[in-house]
Amino acid sequence: MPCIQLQSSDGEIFNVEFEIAMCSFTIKTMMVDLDLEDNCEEVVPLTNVDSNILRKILQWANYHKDDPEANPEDGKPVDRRTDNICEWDQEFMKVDQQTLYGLIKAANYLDIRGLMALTCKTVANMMKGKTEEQMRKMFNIQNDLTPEEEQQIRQENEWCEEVEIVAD
Amino acid sequence: MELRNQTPAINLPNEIWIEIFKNVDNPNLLKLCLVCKHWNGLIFKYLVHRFQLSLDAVKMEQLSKKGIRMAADRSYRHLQLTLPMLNCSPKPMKILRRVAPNLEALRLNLETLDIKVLLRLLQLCPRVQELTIKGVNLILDVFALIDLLNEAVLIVNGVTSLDVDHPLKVIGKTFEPCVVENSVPEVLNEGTIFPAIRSLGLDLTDLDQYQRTFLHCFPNVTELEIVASQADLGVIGAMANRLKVLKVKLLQDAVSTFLTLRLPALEVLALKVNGDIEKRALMHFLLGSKLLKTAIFTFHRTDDVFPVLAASLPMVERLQISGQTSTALIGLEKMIHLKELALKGCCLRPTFIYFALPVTYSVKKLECIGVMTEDRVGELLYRCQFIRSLTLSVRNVHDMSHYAECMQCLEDFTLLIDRVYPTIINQMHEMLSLERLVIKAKLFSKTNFKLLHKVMALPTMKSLTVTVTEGLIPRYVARKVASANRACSLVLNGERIDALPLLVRSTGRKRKVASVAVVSEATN
Repeated sequence: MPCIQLQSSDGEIFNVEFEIAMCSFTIKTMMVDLDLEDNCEEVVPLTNVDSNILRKILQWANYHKDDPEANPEDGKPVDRRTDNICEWDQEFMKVDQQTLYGLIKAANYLDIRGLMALTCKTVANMMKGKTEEQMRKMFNIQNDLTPEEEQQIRQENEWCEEVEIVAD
Repeated sequence: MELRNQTPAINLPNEIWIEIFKNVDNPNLLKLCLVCKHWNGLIFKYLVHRFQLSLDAVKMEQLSKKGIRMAADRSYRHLQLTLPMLNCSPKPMKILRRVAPNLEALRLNLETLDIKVLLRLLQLCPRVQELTIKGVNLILDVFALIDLLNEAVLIVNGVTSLDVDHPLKVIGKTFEPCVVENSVPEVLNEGTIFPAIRSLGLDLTDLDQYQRTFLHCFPNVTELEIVASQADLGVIGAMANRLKVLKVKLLQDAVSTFLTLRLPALEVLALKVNGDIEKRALMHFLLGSKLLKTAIFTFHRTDDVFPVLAASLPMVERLQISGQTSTALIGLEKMIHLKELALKGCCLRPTFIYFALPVTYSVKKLECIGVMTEDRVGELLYRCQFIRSLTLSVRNVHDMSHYAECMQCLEDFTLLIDRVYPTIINQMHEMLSLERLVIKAKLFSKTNFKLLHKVMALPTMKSLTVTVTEGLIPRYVARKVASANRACSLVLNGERIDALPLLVRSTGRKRKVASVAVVSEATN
């Protein structure tokens, strides 16, 4: 099985099966652009991803390597359902907040669409049913709205109606 | 907009926050706006297309100066104004000036319309593509009732019959036409042409008198929604060659003239007709639209119309028939491109072929809502045995063996039913491809609910949603059902039910937990 070497930001080198590394569009593009496909001796440095996160990502990619590839150009509307996370993924997402945000950033940087969707859905699920105060606490955000502004937003929110999405 | 300086402590780039917010539903999204300025700014910069600002005279009065600024900051794309009349008084105009440059859709609910003011308003909104003008006063006609009844069946939990009491609570969506003031249209010139507008909705009195004005002002309309009397048909006629989407409610006198029109570019047709319709004329009309892909019909007192539709809509992919009409589905199998079929509130007559009912291979999605006799549904399901998705509302069905043919391929199943019987659930075990099941019932006993664990345990299942209006399902029963398949989510009455913790039976302590669970079940 051909392998590729990925180097995390803290210097650890991972030997990764070619097929698994290809879940990242960033790596895939890099391989094609630099014509590295036949030359597996090269070490690919990933300066934005540390070894802990990279290990998690590879674990995820290994489990999902047989998934059908989502076609990014099919122009389907964003799937807003967040209750369709499979059991393995739910287990996988049971991590502390720092790891979770590390995973999101890495998924974004490496352009791994499935992992990006999973992590974003997980955070969106964490937001569900929380009060503003709970959310500020959860994300460690300072409330920078004056009471008047808050009142304004509340009022305007009441006047916001959902736009009917007309079936095409 | 202050997007840069207000970075939250959890340091994620804006693009990632937006990706996250995209997964949040609208009510929760509005709550997120209250967390901090940064989020409020992001949401209303990138996701504003999900919302429509809806204003009336009272709200306009309430909008303080600051409020006006904020409305503009949010750069709404959709605006709805409900006013007695549109005028150039300073206050509304001030708000409109702020909001207008970003608007893509404008809906006006007016008692009276002054066309001059309308044109002046539109000049402020260079990006508007959709314009709808309707009246404000409530009136309930037969089509509104049909729509409401069909909607009510889906909205009101467990209602599976067309009772008139329920929908009356959800009224508020139909309007009397808007009266056009006797305003002499201005000199029509370059400045009063709005080429960007491609979608137009009109419910006006005396439309025919202003027909020329509308045709001049909106030369590129390809989507038209209209309530038409005989005199108004000229508008449709003048646009006939370019209309791609037409939603039309025909008043009694307009039917026969309407059917003489030919709309060659039409892709989507929604037609509401009250009264009998000349079948041959309908056929010729439909055959004139060769590109038609979606057809939605609401009939009232028009019977036996399906054979005509089947013969004249060979290319249609989506077909919906609703209203008080009774027909046999003769020729369904001839519509070889039909993928989605919906029948709402109409009555099915038997197809008089006893030996071999023709089966359709193309239909993948079927909706049957409203009154239909049970054996006809069985017949229909036999004919649509390759469907993947089924929405069914039936009263008092004890036994689903009629439906056995379509069960093998079914992936989505929504069942609206008065009462759930054990036989029904037992038959669901045979749906070996089932991924999503939704049950809305009036009555669902605890004992019968427990039986769901077998359905839940089907390996393909991804989500199970149950809504019960009468009868209480204890939480531990629900959690036990949820435990049958941890890869499948269970939602009961809108609440997500978690599975029970995994019991490991190898140690003494855990075994104790197990016995406690059994005891608690017994005491309940």
